[in-house]
Amino acid sequence: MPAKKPHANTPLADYIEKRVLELRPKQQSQIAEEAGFKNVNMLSMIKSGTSKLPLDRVAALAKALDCDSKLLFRLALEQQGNETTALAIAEIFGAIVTRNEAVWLNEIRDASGNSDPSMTTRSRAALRAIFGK
Amino acid sequence: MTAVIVVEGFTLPAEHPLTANEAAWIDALRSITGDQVQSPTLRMVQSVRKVLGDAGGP
Repeated sequence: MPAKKPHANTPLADYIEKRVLELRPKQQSQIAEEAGFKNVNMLSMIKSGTSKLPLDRVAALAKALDCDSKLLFRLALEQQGNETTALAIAEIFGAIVTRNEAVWLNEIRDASGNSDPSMTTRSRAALRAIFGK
Repeated sequence: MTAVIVVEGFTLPAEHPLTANEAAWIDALRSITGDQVQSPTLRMVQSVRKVLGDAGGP
């Protein structure tokens, strides 16, 4: 018998749950409507992991959730479990980097004088310290 | 040199492809932040500059 919530606790389901909470008092039904879901329960099903997010809904849902569409696309792609598609997209269009990640890249390039610094143990420790981890 | 063709409405994912080292930085950021990388604050930028500056330039 198939699992009732096969996509529960995937990074995408967790992320959507977090964004819905953060957007309160905006109603979940309003978000679902803005994302163009014909069935407003669809968002609830994606959030709980009963359904996965179709790739053609990523852009509209990202707008409704006021989040980075590239991040949502990457999480949705990961949820599809299709490594081949992910690899093909990365190969043809380049790595999917979110707006925030692009800002980090620019800072790293700038701070290092474009010397392409490697990720050393010391750099990783510094990043952990920056994020308090 | 390859001519750059600009098509309105399309943007490149980055100025140039990520190097292996840059991909490692992004992987580290994603891993540390639980895949939710926030835009760096001034304090974060200063810390990164210190680390990369101290690492010794050319």
